[in-house]
Amino acid sequence: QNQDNVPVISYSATPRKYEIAEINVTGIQNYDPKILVNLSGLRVGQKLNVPGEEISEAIRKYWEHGLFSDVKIVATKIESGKIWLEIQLLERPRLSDINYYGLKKSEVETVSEKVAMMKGSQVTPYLITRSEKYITDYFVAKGFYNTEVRVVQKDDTTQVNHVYLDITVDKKEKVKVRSLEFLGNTVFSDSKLNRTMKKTNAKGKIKNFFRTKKFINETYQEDLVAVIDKYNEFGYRDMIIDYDSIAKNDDNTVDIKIKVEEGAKYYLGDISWIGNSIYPGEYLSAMLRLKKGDVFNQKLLDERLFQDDDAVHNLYMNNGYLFSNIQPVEVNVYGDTIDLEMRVYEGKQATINNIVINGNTKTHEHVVRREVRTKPGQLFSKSELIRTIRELSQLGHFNPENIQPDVQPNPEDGTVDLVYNLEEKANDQIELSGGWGAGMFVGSLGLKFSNFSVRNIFNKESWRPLPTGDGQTLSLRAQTNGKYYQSYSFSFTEPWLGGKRPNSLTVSAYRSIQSSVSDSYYSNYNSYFSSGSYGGYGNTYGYSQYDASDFDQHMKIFGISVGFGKRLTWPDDWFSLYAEVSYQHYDLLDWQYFIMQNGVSQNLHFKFIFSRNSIDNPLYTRRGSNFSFGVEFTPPYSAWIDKNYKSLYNTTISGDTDERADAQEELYDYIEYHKWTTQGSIFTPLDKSEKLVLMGKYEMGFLGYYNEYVRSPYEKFMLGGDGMSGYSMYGSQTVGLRGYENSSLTPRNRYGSYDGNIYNKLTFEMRYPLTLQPSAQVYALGFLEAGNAWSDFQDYNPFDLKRSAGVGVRIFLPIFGLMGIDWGYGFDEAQVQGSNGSQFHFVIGQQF
Amino acid sequence: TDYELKYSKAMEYYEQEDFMRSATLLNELQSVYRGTDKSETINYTYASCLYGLSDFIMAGHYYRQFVKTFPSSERNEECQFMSAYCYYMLSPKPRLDQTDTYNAINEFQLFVNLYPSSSRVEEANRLMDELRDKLVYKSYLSAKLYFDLGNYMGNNYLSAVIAAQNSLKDFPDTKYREELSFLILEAKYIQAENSVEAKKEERMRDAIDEYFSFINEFPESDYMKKAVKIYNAASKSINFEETN
Repeated sequence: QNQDNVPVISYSATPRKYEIAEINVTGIQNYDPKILVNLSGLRVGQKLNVPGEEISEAIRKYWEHGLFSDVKIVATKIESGKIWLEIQLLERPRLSDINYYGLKKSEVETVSEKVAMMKGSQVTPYLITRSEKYITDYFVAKGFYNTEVRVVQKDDTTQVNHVYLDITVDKKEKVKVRSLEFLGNTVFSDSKLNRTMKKTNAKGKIKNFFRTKKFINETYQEDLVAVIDKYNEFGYRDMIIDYDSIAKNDDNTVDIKIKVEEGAKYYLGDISWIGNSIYPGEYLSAMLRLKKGDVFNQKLLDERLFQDDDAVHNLYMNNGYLFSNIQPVEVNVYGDTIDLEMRVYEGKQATINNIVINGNTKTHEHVVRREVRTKPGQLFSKSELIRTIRELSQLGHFNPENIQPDVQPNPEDGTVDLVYNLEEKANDQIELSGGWGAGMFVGSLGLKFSNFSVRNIFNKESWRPLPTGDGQTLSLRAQTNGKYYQSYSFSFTEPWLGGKRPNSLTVSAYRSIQSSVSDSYYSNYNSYFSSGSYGGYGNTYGYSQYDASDFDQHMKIFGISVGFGKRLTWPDDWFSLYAEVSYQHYDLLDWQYFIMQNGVSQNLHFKFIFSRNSIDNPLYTRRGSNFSFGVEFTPPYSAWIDKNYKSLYNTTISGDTDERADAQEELYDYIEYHKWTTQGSIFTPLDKSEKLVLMGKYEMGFLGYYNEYVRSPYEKFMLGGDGMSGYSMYGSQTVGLRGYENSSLTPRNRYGSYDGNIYNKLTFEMRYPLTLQPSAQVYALGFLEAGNAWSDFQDYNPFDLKRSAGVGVRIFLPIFGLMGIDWGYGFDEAQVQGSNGSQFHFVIGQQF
Repeated sequence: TDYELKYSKAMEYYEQEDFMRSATLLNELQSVYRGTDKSETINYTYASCLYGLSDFIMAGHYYRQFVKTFPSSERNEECQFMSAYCYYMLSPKPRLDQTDTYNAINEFQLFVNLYPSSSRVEEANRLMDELRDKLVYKSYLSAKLYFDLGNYMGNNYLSAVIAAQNSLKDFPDTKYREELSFLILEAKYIQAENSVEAKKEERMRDAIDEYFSFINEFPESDYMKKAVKIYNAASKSINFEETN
């Protein structure tokens, strides 16, 4: 139609109302015009403003469909209040598929993620240039400085208006640094500056053997900044990089020259404070810990002002002055001295208004809120905020690497809302293991629900698959090898009993039944169980004379305990106290493997553990420490009951078989002992990114007696091996020491049974995380360990330790918990010949 | 592949409420029939199938998609409502994260604004009230938690008062108004009682003021006995100090 007839819409005039007379669509190849009109949301007969919202909205809708690369709506005719519209659409070819050439499979995956072109989307020149750029940038960042990318468009003959894209990538060879030269440096030597440039290193030098020699422009620029920072740190604040040159060579290398101008070294002059009304200037200067005459170090100044835990600004931030600010201004420079004026803006104190908790899709809000230390009505405090993050990660229900507090200040009314954004993680654990040993199947099933909810147990809706959300722990475990050994245990913990105070209640019970093993299984039996911490005692007993399959021999154990834990506020609020009453009942019949063979032993004891735990993260700990001191004791029966213990004891040694049995039964009827344990571990990050972590740990234990003739045959320490306590018997406590076989560092008494009454252990471990994703956390470790166990205090020698060293890896998977494997080498001869040397240890659900 | 057959089968399965099969077919047909006259029916039916399968996350997503894609469709009213209803179905119990509850309220509000004369408006309003009550109950629980924590690590009574007041500010006509108001009264009184002498009188007077506004608003409250008791104790403590 004639261009002259097209009405002109004036965008500066007042919009006028028209009624739509007709809508036409042009420029389409394979869509129904009627449908396309519908997509616009405009219809014939509708009244609309021109120019106005409706038209823009319609254009936006077309764009959203992604079917068209250009959209125009024009008025073809305007007549007596009516308007004729034409929608001009432009279709682009659509993408059938992308083919990559010259890349490895894994590279194709990463690259196509970056290119992000979907099948069926439009292919526009912009998209093609964009993907070329993305791919080039990606490989340049990896050191392929000369990467070439070509994109070719090919028609897809099977579909109308569809194309293939062939993307050919020629990475060429990596570019390396041939030489790195510094000019004009007098303060720092070439090699010192070289070391400052962390990721840009010349090849062919021994000291650079382990370092990357690739030339990557991005990291090179970062390294230049590092050089400047280095000078600034030593007071050379005028230092500049005069020029730097990168000369390319034919053999894919570059020569780098950097010319520096060092300037003069500056020192701090007077530091004055203005604007501060709450803290006096002298106090702030003392907190700053910088004084007149110090080298002018911008980095240290920033750290002391803002970044350190005890930085000056944190004085304000921990006291509600959320809006405060400190600005160091250089007011006077004379010679090599700089006077600083600290301009303090204090602002109003911010009071916390709302605490919002988001992301708890499984855990009930009160479980989170009661741990939050920032509360409505209190002054804002940065340190309490940080402590809260630690407490929430300690709960174990949320991904500790992704707890994000959002501080939302409202300066108008001087309040602040804090939003804690959390991400739930699965922390129930299941352990199902089975194996063939001793000619029979041995299986165990363990379930640990860390976020159980008892009150919802009768609420059908919350069973998905179990009632969850109240942060209670329920663990169930059953273990059996069918005929000879069965064990069941149950434990339940409520962390906030009554919901008003963090007083925990733990109830647990267990039962195990063990029958004798016939000697036809003897050899198998021994080899099987010595792989657990259970083993070893078969060696000392020649019990092959006993009749096979004697099921009358047994040991039955029943135990129950109730514990109460309380967080303390004194000496500081990292401390806690745990108290427990526990009862065990041992029933033995012709039990050949223990010092006592027949009868019943009962153990009623009280336990108190005083501990301090300030570690930041329970899974991959970076900093903090954990100390505990425990004491456990039974009533001193022998002091109350008048009996000739000495002669009973002598009978157990020198009497005939029957007399011995009777005497043992009487002597160990009520077990009595007192037991002292202490341990501590400290975690320190060794690098700036807080990845490499050093752990130092000590452990000690002592089992004492009230009466020298009534020494407990139970509750001993078993030292050596992987420290897995799965098969622990006779109430013994298993302590791992890698590089030695299980229990091999435990002394024996004259009857050949284990008799570890004192032990010491020291560990140093370096850890490095390989991945900290919530789906799998993996870290590698290297360790040095030393420890030993003794029977009597007379033999105790804390310097006579068995040493070992080794490496290992730990994997934490949400459902399976912590697993790991360690290889250790024991340097010293253990009690049992040949149980040191090279040893592998498997670790499940326990940390060294 | 015969797309027409797939289409008619998909519709047939949908009629028979075999949502699983229908959804599988429709998922494939969606891209095939994009931009054609069948597109609208396919998208609508697909969303309804997902709803039938109780996949409220995806169903809601496709209902919202529908509303955007087919702005002049007759099914728009229903789809806008359903998109809100899917959020409503996803909204968990008050103790958990309430993002979906907020989403549901926003979507229902949008529905009521867009279709004020719809027959579904009444239901939308009812559901919105239900959802708002859930949010108030959630804030009541947190105020109550602070109240229960008492003096554990700081003055939690103050936190309880602020939490309850914020809740009343956000939702003035809630059915939990009485509970929240009484919680404020009780917390203010206990806070006053625990205060140092310098602040005690002022806080007691504040509690007494709170008492009067409480009995004014809820003259027949179940908490009346307790409230009177608080009032007596509070006024006694002030008089006692005044005579001193």
